[in-house]
Amino acid sequence: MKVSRREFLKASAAAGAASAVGLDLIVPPEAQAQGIVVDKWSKAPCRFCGVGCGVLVGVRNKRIAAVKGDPESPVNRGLLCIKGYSLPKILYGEDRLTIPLLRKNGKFVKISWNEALELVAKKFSEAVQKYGPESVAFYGSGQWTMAEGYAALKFMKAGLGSDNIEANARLCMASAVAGFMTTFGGDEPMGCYDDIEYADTFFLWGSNMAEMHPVLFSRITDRRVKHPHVRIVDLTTMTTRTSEASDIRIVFKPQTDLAIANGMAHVIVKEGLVNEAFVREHTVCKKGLENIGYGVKDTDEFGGQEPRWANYKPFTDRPQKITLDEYKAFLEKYTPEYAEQVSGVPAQIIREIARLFADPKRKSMSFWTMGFNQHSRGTWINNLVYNLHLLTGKISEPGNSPMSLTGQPSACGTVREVGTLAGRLPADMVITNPEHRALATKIWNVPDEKIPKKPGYHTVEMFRALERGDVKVIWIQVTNPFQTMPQVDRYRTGARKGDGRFIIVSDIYPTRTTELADLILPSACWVEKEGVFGNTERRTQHWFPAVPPPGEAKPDVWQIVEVAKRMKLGHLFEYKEGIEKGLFEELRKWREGKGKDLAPYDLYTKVRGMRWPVVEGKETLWRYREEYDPYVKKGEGVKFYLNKADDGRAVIWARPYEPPAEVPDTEYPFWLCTGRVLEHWHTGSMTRRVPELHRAVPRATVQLHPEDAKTLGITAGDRVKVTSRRGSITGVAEIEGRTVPQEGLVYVPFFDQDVLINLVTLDSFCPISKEPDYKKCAVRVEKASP
Amino acid sequence: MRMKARAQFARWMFGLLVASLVLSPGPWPPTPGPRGQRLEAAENPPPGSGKRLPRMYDGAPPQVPHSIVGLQGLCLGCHLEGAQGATLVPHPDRPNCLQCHVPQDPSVKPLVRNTFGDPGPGQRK
Repeated sequence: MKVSRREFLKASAAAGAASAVGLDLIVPPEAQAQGIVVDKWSKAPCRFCGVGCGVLVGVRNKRIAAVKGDPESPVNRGLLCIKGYSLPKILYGEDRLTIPLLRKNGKFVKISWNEALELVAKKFSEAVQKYGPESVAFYGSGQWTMAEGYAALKFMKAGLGSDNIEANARLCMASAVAGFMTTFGGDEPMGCYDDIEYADTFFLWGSNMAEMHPVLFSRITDRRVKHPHVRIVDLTTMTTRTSEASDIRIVFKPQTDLAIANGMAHVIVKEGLVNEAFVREHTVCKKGLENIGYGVKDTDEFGGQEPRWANYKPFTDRPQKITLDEYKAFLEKYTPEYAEQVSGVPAQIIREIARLFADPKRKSMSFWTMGFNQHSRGTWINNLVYNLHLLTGKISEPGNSPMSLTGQPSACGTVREVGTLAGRLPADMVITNPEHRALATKIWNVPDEKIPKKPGYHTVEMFRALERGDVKVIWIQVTNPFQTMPQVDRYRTGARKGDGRFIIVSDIYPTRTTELADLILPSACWVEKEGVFGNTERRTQHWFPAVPPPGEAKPDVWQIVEVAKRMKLGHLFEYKEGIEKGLFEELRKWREGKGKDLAPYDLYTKVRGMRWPVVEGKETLWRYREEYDPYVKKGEGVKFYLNKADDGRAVIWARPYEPPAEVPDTEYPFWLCTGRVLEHWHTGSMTRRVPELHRAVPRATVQLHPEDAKTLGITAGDRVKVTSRRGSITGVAEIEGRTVPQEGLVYVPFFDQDVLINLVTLDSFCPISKEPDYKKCAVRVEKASP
Repeated sequence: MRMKARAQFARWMFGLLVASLVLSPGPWPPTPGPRGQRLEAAENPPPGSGKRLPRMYDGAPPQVPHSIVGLQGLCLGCHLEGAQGATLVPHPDRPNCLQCHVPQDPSVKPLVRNTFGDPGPGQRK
């Protein structure tokens, strides 16, 4: 479509005018897909990241023909990113799994659904009978719908009496959850995306938002372009596209975010930037244990068969209240000069960004994801960023917002809110609390003895238990652990040790996990089934099925219920309103009155999502502050009401800097950091099957600083080998591409199943959150022999 | 950078690029510079070749049919005013071009055939 210069100038003037009122005139006429013929457009949240953009799915002849950004979604207002625009193609890789496959004599043979389901039921029953409920496990996903997660939770905890249910969100959000629980007594952000259009200062910590949360990043840059006083501060271990769009770029040594955050707090205290009234009225100070280890050795945390199960002692922190003066004394050590020594960031910069953050005339918003969470002190660094917002009172009001970004589309809605984690129940409740158990017996109509009493394995321990043989039967849904587990060779080997192990994998495409399965179950994907996701900003979003699944592929909920029926647990899933609505309405019962209320199911089918707590039909944008949160009583002003233990006060934590589990040395002189790229989602099973995405980034590369490349005699395009104490990969070197690591660090994305970088990573984890650190281990880099 | 300043800078850089092409016509893509960058297949044409790629579907954003090596952040240098036959950008107020428009390595074959666009059940071809 040719546009004359005149037309273009008119259009851009119109765009300029309209865009002054916010990201309104988002959709260029061409993108409104006016020429396309579809039978129907229906709404859905995007299948990909935790931003949770709204899309409209266009169907023609029972196949997806197009998508457009949903102009009515308050999240993205019609804008998508390239992964979102690729949604029509993700279902149509030719090798979709369409029939159950059973491993027989080293090959996969087709079997019927009935055979497959009977076998799953048999394997679970036999293992529970012979070895106890600790010997079975369920590993799910932040890409599970809320119904799928709740069905799996009920199957395990109400049905089998097993607490071994975990999800891949342990690998991405557990530290964020632990941060929320220890600081606020309740999970998930108190602000929402609306904060972006009020904020004056954006701190981005270890988070390449330009590639990983692109639509939210566009809202930030839009704010920046329209309001020149806005500042974006990028704190990172490598320069990225995010850095290029930021005003202040700060590169720090890995793990030293702890020192920088404490350094900023030190400045805030010393320079009288503390909001004294807020701190006095709404916070308490605490400290915990130090030198808390890294979970690397099995003996640090184990469980399994009696008597070892009886001796299972997971790490537990020992919080102690301290006075504000004691907290300030703790901060004395963290001068900007000390922080400079540790982090490499000049002391003067630390002073300046502390002042910028704390400026009472500016509203400050902090964003973070995997840099903070996939961290051997992930809980601590989450606590420390909240300290900055609490010391200055910049919280729970428009623009003042610490916002923990979620990676997956429903790590919030499913894993965290449903509680598909060891020891958990829905709505932040736990199996070890008698009141919570009482509610479980009531809602599930099962006796107390049925519900597990001891927390099960967390993810790293679960796969160690499979490797040891303490877990025999595991059902994996909607995730790819035998590509994503850190030090993955141990866990891949463990999967195929035989001796009664039986691995069931529900997925849509062959992956590095299905290749190690005993039984593969073909699954429906995204709009091939009904579902609800919950995104980063507490927005719960529903979609109806738009197209049928291929072949014999079935929704994961159906698979769970059919197995349950064959184990005489079908009564747990009988709902007169149908399985999807039934599960959701039951989940609501857990959350009512707890500050996590959901609206009725039918309302979500009509609206572009709602942010909980939804009370009397009204969503909550800002939590814990009187004018916005119906749970805060009149006159209370601010109340962190989920933290009953501290009388509704939030916790300022004294958490020190401690180094990671493994640091570079003479033999392994480089840091290895792993992560993502814009074009590929997680392990690439969907996005690498979209030709446009594959052509954009065809392989994972080993990304190096140009000086390091020079020293090593490496030029772009050379094959290089990256080796750690655990394993090695070979990949193509990339120098000065979109991401440039700091000197002494190499970056390798994990989306490529043929560059299995997790052979190299270390399974150290934050002992509090149990989340592994994928961002730090020590490697050697050398040109590979041809 | 503010939009205006960005666009001005972009135009200046583009001018330099055109000048360098005119003054020293060499093979494309340029041989790796001192920083060693060049990862794309040699077949990816330089900007200005006028090639367009078919869209995924009506309404999908157009993909970048040329190499962007050394050109990150400089899209508007050509696309703001349609220099060298570049498509006029209908939304110059949005600076994160690569969020939606990604380059394509034409030498890369699909890993698996994608059947998007195949006729649905009951539809005549």
